[in-house]
Amino acid sequence: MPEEKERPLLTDEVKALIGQETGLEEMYGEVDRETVRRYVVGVPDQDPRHWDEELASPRFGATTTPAMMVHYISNRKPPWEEDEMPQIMADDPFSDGGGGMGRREKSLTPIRDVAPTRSHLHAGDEVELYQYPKIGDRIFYKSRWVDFQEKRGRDGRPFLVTVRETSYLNQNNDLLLKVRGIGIERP
Amino acid sequence: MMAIPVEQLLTLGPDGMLKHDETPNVEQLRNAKQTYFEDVNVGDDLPRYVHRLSAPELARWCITMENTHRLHYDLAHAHNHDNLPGALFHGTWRMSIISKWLKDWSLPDGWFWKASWQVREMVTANETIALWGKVIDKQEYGKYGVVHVEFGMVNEEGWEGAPGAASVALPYRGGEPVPYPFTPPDA
Repeated sequence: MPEEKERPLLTDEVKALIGQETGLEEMYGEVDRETVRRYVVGVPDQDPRHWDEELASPRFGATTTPAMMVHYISNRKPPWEEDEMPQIMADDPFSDGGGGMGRREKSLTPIRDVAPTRSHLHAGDEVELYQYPKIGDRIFYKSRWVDFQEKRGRDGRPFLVTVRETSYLNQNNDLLLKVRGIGIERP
Repeated sequence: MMAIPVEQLLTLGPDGMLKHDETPNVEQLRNAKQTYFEDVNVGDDLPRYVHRLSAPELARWCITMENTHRLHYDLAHAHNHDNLPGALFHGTWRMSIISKWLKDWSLPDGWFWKASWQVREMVTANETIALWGKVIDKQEYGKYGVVHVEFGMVNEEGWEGAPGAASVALPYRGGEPVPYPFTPPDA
């Protein structure tokens, strides 16, 4: 039997996920000044339009946000979700992130539920930006598994290239941002 | 439009590269002077953003986006488990820096519309990176023009870490600001 790290990854179970979509899900909470502040400092993107209403409003109608912020915050873990991190780390002390802090419920099926991968790398993105969320906005998002491909690295071991597309909208159904994220999942 | 050519920048060494950083500060962003569609020519360079990454900044980005992925902060894990050269510069952080840079270039009345990029060479803490961009095409539409840019993010060794392409909408001299929310030219 081949070692775990050399087993084929693009199985029928993985292929069956192509085209899987979430419903239109709502982000926990609303867009708030503290989250914007955190991203302004973290990027950093200290454009005063992110906090100075007088400067930003004539063009944007309100203060703005770092362009990709909504992509990072929309699937944040709601407070009622069970904390799975201790169990994930107990099962695999070398887990790459203990399951992370993203929302599990109402998400696409994680690739690791159907493929023996343990390590993720960010491989690229395609983004289209239409408008910024405003303070107090509710954010809705819808994701879809677009494609999976199996490739082999220089060491001959297989890895999966994953493509996931997510659209972000506000409470008025206005499209804010569309992101197609490309990832690499390795055993 | 007077950015130092990237080939020349790379001959200066990390400390010399940092002297050519053109990242605007808060007041420069507040008073951003518009680049009009007519100002831009094919072959022009975009402003050069140069930055030395530090381990605390990698951690700050993890905190900002609630990212527990350990290859960004757990050096022993990155070396010994993932065979990586160090704690890695995030794909998501590259994404945010690129988006900020294109947005800054379009201020106050243009719009960063869309981009795509790949995460290529691994970049680790203490490396110096330079964001470069060159205008490769421009097209006139009714209310605004669109400038197409190729870009990348090289480290001090000249390794390309984020090759990509983007489209930025710029107003005409004497014309109206680019519509907000943004309406693509073919919509």
